[in-house]
Amino acid sequence: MKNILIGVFLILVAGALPAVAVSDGVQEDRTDSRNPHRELREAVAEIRSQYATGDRSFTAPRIAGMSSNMRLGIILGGSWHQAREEAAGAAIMAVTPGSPAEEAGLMAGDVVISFNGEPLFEQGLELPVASMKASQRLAELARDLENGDAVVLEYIRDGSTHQADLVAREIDFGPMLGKLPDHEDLAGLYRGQLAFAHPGDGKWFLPRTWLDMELVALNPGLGEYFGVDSGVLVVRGPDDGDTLALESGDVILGIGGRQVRSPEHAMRILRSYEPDEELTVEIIRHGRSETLTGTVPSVPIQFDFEFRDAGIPADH
Amino acid sequence: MHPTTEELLVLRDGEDAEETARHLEECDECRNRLEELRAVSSALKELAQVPPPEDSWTEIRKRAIGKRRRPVGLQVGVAAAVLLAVAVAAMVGHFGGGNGFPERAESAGTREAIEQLSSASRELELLLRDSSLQSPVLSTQSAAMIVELEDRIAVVDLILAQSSFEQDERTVVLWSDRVELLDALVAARSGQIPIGGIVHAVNEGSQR
Repeated sequence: MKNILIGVFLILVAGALPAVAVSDGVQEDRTDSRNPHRELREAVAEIRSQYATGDRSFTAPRIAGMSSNMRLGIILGGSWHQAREEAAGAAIMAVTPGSPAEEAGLMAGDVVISFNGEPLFEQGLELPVASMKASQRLAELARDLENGDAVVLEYIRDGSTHQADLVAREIDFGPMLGKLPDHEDLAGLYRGQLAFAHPGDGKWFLPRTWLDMELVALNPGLGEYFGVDSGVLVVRGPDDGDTLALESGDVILGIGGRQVRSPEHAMRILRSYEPDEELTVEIIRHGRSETLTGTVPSVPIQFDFEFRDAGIPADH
Repeated sequence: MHPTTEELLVLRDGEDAEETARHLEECDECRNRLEELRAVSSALKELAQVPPPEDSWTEIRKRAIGKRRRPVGLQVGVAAAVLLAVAVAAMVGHFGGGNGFPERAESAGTREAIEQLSSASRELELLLRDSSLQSPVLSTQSAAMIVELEDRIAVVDLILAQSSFEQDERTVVLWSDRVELLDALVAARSGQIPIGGIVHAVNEGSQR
């Protein structure tokens, strides 16, 4: 863990100041690493305090009309953002983690120039205008997408043209959208309450023995060893077991017939189950395929996700 | 009775405001105010097309690091960018507020703040892409936390995707949310507990 942290730190530093040798002082800086985090949080809190009293007239119908625009997972910039881009096109301001755009390798700063072969801007327009029109056009095209539609985007990054192949998909908002039914909740958005835990969040109906396991997604080498394409290896299993208990060395291939790609993916699938529902887990144990069968518990495990007012544990 | 600034803005923005329009036909003072508002509006539009210095992020980062005399990581750069955004916003607010022009929700200040926050968000996204920062082994609790964080970012993005062409105050707050959540996600994916992130797993049944 220590080595990972130092590695993380070196990469952070290298990114921040590539021209300076940083080999000395790494140890002491590491213990300081909570301060920059706190500074970030304080700075964001200050911004909030200046802006949070603003317009709160955000209404539910607007939310309802939005979801169709999110099948790619990109946020496009306005003209002020476009102006600094060198190429005319729709500039991506942000990419949603876990979205088709992220999986296809698109990044904030990429400038999209065509959608399924259709150029997004007209020749002869000045750059800010052309870019604005391109963003609007891309937003329109994205709005019409259905789940499963294949999309080819051509984009410019660092001066050269690349291509991204995406499959449009409704992003899994989990239970979050269901938590925003009325005006009161939406008003809270502007105080930043959406972003952080509030009562009722984090209820997971997990088999009790699944807490505190350690999991790792199979890489090609491990996959070859176990003779499978994808799955999740149980690095550390639970101490005692019930019928759903996994053991160290098991490979989870699927849950309820759905292929499992990563530890997070396994958790997402598990969360979609209702209490008391029957659950099957397809695994490989000692080189043989097995299916574990059990029942989702009727009482939830409450994960209390609290992201406020505390420093990073010094050596976690 | 003179129309309020808000009513004039409605008229300026081309919406139907018969009563205000009638008043303006007879009132020089209000006509002048409307002209001023239009001037502000077009001045803002002009501003929007001026590119910010190309290497502003690098400069901020250098300054932040210079102050501390030794490199302490990207987060300082992010914090500095956000602080700068606050400073710029405060400055614009100060000068903007003193000359009789109404304070609009959308201003050069909010634009600056969004610019800086989205830069910070972009840097954090780069960290998320860096495979050497991802912890391959995750506890089930960390994996659950990642899922919860990703859900929250997805909802913030859902709203931002619709309002990214707007530069008003609520957009600033949403971008603030995004930066904080991404910061926590970077920590969670690297196998750490995010800042202030405490995971208690309480089986409710066993508590009763």
